Amino acid sequence: MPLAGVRVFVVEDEALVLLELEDLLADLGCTVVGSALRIEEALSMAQSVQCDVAVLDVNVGGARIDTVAEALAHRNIPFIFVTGYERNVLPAAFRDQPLLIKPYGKADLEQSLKMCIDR
Amino acid sequence: MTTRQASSSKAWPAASHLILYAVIVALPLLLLVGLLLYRSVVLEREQLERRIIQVLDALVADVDRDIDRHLTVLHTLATSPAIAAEDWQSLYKQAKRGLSGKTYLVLIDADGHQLVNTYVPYGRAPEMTGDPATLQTIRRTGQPVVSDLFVSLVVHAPVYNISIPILRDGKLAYVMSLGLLPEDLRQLLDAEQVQADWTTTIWDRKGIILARSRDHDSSIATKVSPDRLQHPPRTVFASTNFEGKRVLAVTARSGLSDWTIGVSYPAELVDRQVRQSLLFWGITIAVFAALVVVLAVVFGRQIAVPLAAARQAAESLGRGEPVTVASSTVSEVNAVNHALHDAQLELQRSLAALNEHEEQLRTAADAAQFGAHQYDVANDRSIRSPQLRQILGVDDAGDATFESGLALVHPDDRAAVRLHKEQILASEENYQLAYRIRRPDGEVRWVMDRGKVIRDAWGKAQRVVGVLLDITDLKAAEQRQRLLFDELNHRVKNTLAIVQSLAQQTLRTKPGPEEFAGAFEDRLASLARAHNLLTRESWRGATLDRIVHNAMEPFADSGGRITVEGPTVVVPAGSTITLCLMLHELATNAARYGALSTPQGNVAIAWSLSRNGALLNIDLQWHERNGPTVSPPTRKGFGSRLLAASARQLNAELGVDYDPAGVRYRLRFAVPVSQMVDFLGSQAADAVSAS
Repeated sequence: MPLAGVRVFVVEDEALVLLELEDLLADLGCTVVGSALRIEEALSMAQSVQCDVAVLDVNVGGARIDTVAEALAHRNIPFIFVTGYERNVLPAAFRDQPLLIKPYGKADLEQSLKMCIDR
Repeated sequence: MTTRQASSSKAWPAASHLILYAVIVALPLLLLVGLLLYRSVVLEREQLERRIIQVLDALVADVDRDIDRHLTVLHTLATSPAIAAEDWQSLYKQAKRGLSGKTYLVLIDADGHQLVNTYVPYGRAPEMTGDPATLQTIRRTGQPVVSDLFVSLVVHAPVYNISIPILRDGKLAYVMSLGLLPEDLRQLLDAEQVQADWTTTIWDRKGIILARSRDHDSSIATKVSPDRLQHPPRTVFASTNFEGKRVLAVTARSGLSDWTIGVSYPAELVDRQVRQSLLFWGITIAVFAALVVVLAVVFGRQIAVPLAAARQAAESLGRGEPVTVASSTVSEVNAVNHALHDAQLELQRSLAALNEHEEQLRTAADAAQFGAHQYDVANDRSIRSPQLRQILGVDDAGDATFESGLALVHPDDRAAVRLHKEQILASEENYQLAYRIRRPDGEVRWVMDRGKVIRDAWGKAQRVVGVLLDITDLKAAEQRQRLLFDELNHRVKNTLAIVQSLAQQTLRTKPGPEEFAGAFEDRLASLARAHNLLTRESWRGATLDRIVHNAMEPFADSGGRITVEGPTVVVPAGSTITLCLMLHELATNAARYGALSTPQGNVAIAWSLSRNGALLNIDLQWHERNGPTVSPPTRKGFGSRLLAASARQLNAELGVDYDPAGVRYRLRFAVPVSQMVDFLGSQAADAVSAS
């Protein structure tokens, strides 16, 4: 499993969706090292969490993920965006990042993670 | 409206036209009258001249007759025998007897020696003749002679002689003369005197006056005025008389003497005639002119007065006042009046139709809240309707230029509007522009500006007419709608993600098809009920009371009793679904293993509130009683994971107490007070949060 042992940081504001995402990541052999459901939580964790990749919901409880993405980019941590919107809602600086459109399946997540790590 | 005055310099009143007409017609007549008067003056003058010449001729005849009479006396005396006998004394006596008055006889011989002179007593005659000129003439011609005036030796006064030769044996022997006084001639002139102011004069061949009808005594023996001698006889000429007055004169020669007879009469006579004629002509013209003017004014008024009335009627028509049509004596004016009357009827009909049309348009514009504008391109002037001024938030009814209008456009849209204006004027027929305006009070509004460009025959833009509609509300609605679409899309996608997760999570714990179907349907139904609740409240959130009742509704018929108690508090929409799902999981567990699995069990759900600045802290307790004895779970299932994650999502503190008498949950979280205000209104929210 190419994704085995990969440490993942997850930001998702919907509890149910977060549970499923955590299970999917576990299915793929990844380790969820941190998860955030609210933007303040996400921002503070983004400064310090030790991870290989992050999965970021674009809209977190009505707030934008931009600052979190910037913090991660600053730390050279790759990340995937997840959104129910179109790609054009992404922060302008990160418009080329891998994007998962909700709802997504396990295969979509796996492919995006691989792309993200290979880069 | 401008009133056109009779400004043309060629426009005259009707009376003036009539005067001109009369003058043109009368001018030849007046000239003819003048010509006739001139002819009559000339004829009068000719007549006068003829009469004068007649008088002159009569005078000449009288003088000649007188001379002839004296010649007859001389010829008779010449045959006297006393002459042959040289008996001078007898002759003297004979002559003295025969001659009357102051006339006297003188007889001289061929050498000029006086032989007889009856003026003096016999024998006292002077020795020589006093009139040698006559003797010389008779010696030369042998014919009778009438002498010039000379001073007599005996009379010692101017006299004249009429003399004849007396021959003896064919040779001149004697000259017999009658001495005559000019006084006789004067009497002759007096006899022929016609008018008192006429003057008749006789002068001799030397121009010495012999007699004159006026002032005879002072003029006799004086020289006649030289210009009288220059003119041919029987021709009238102008001159001045001895009194210095202007006269007309005419002369004629006596046939028997070399005397000249002149008649002069005052030029005044002729001048007066000319003056009278001129005066008469002038009076004729004056009377005629006065008549023409009076008649022209009278007839002119007959035309001008109805015309003025027609003009007033036309002006009334122009002002939209009633036209009063007065009948006149001029048929053309009546025709004009009738035409005006008809025009007014037609105008009234058109105006009524126009007013109705305009009223409809205004009503439509008012209803549509259209502001109309009209822009005069050449003069850069814009006219705005009251509605437009209202939309723009300006009061001035005065002119506006394009730039002053542009100042009202939002600074961000000005460049675009200016660019469009150039483009529209250059080539567009119709235009439609949406832009923002900023009113003088600072309010920003969206407007839709639509219009049409009116061009002249060469395609040059003359005017732009258009309407402006305030579309701020429309724009806001459009914005809201776009937001709603985005929100809806997000929500649908999110909901699908939730449903997907719900299905996957259910599948992980309930892999069997039947138990999966049951659990999934229940959770899905719970989710759907939460959606329904939010939809009823337009996704603005829901009161906690409703959320709890909504979540517990499927379990109302289960064994246990459910009590719900707590003050009104509003939970935001995002938290509502999470709470519903959490309550559903708790209720499902209670129904399966807890207080709701037995008829005597009950669940008490209660909460309290405390204010913390802008937040309301909610302390929610779930307390199961009288159910089966509780023992803590051996492993973490989906339910506890969901509760933990959901609590984190709500930023809530979750407490779990597996009391054997009944499980207890405690959920403490905060909601913003503003949510309450939005949902319930400020008064209700204040009342709730204060209680």
